[in-house]
Amino acid sequence: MAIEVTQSNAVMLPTLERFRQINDAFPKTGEILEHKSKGGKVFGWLCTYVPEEILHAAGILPVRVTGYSQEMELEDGNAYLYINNCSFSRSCLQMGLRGEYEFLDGMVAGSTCDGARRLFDLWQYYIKTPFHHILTVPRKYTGKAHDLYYQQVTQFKEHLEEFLGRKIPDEQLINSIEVFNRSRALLKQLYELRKADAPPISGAETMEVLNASFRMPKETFNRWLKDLLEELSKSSITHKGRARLMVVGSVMNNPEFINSIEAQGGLVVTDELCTSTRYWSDPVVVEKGESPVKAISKRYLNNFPCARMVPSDERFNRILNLVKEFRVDGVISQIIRYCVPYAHDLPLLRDRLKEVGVPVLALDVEYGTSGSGQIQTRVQAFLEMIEARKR
Amino acid sequence: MIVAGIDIGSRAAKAVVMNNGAIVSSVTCDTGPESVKTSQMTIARALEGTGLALDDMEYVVATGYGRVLVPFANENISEISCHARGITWYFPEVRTILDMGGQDCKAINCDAEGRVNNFIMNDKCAGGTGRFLEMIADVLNIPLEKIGEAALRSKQAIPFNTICAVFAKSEAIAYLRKGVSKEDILAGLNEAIATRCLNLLKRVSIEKEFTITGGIAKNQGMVAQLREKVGLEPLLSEDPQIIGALGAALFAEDRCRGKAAAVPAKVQYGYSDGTGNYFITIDTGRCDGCGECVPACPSGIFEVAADDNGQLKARVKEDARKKLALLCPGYEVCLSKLGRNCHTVCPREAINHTW
Repeated sequence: MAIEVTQSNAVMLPTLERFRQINDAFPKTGEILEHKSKGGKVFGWLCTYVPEEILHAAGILPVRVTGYSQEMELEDGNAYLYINNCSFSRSCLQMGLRGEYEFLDGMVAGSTCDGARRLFDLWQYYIKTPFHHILTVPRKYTGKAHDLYYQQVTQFKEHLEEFLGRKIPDEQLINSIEVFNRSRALLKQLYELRKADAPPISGAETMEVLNASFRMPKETFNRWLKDLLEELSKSSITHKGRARLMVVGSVMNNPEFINSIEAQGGLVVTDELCTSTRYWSDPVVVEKGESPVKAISKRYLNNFPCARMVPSDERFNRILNLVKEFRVDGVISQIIRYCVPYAHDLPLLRDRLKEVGVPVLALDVEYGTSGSGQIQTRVQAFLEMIEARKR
Repeated sequence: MIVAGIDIGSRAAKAVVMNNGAIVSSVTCDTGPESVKTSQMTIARALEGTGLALDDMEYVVATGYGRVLVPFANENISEISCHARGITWYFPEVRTILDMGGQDCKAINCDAEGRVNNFIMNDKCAGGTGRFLEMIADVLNIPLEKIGEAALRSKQAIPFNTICAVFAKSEAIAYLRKGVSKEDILAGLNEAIATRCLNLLKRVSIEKEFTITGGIAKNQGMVAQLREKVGLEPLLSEDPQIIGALGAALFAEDRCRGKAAAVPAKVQYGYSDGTGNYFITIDTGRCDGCGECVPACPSGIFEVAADDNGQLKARVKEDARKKLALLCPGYEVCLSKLGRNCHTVCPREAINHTW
């Protein structure tokens, strides 16, 4: 019993197809190759605590380093990274070692968790990307933490300027902030559509849009997304499910996984993933008299937090707000094995959701999984449980 | 109102036939390599001697691991919901269920009406499942149905460090060589499995009353260990193995009672390969025999032929059925390489895959 898709006339969404094509060509997308062919530099980034605006302002195309959106053989990844590192970090390393990211001129990471940290170490050691940088990211929101992170972002900018042999002017930064904020606002508009009883876009389709956003120039992405919003406003396609679901967990960018949930009738209406809502959630706000670097560092530390941040309540409150706004019936937590921060927070989150009567289905998965028979049984039982409660 | 519930598990297939709220018959058969055949055989056995035929069933609900491959079922419901519903027939006071099956183990917390509050399944590991016990019985050369009482005769259970199916097997063999009695080895393994189950139960919270369902609930040695570990006397039904099928039959009754207008029957036909892990289903209720899928498949596994009623329907070719996993590259692969697959070309969305 899949989600019901109704379509009174055959309105296609050509822009969604264009986004899909970008993802199909990943990692060597046409947009990336075009930027390279014009002599532009392409940098990889890892983890949402890396300020993309700095790269963009320097004329660099930032590309998010991920694995393929499916499970893959990790013969080298497992040989170089001990298996208690998550399969996400091993998948990225595998692709790097295979030379699939050979077009990168730089690699920037945040020392947010052991997985990211070790992946960066090995990348620096074995993959000869010309530029490497890792930012220390504090775990708290205190004044001192903000000072430290501001220093880190400044140092990153200086390191980049030294590498490029030129300064990154403030005007450029302001322009980049505008471009990225525009993108965030458009993604917010897209998510607003999903609040409807029968949204015009499914969860799996939304994930295609987000995946493409990491793999093409933001200006082009913004233009396309505007086209898509236009098409959606005219479209008569609607999606209705047995239950409205939210997916939480660290990193997950496989539309097939969402598809396997939606194929059973669970409509995914929102999420808390670093590859989705947590990526675009907050805009950069430049206060009067404040330097753009300061504004950027503030936004990145205060953004919708990863489970690594303390106290956890900030994250829980935001999740609870989303549950209310999107009228979520149930939450699916997908945690990649050995993602300690998320695994440890889950019992606390479960309690908070229990207070508002929202059940949680906890799935332990590997990065890129698309839903095995066992996962499907659990999802089906979860949906039946939600339906039985509604009656 | 005559209904049936059928539970195609990984090791055993169960069926329950009910007439106006009373159980007419129930059977347990071995699950064969082909789920479709197994389901047909199981229902035939359940109907034997009842004077009823499959056509008399007003509604059939399928559950268990092979639930999507039951061609005559009107609906499929997960085994988790079915166990919770089924146990209310015997013990409405049960709140905590431990279902110990052939391939997995589930802890379920439910309410008085058999609605699931919370559940958890063991992860991709055979440790502590029916399959595991079968293997150990084989190593110890004791018939499976005797291992329960054998464990009860143990004087000193041997502590096992692992219930990883592979490691525990080698450990058991090592103990055998040292001259440890089979009874003590079995008791040790039961204890290790019970500890693991306790861990699952604690994660859904243990509430009174407690029951054990599934094939392993027939093993007295295991039940004794669980009684001790959980600290509650488990309420055991006369045949704990059929609870899933019984739940399915009860759901079928609910559906009959609730159906104002006739529910269009979903006619699924499934094809699975030898492992039972890969299968294609064709919803013959939707399929209009247009034949779009025939040229779309790079391995040419589909054909259109007249069914028993003389209507044209798509099906998987006879000779391709056995080699399905080998021939079919998987729908994602087709989509990325060819830009289309049997799902996308089917105008009525009748075809489905598991890989």
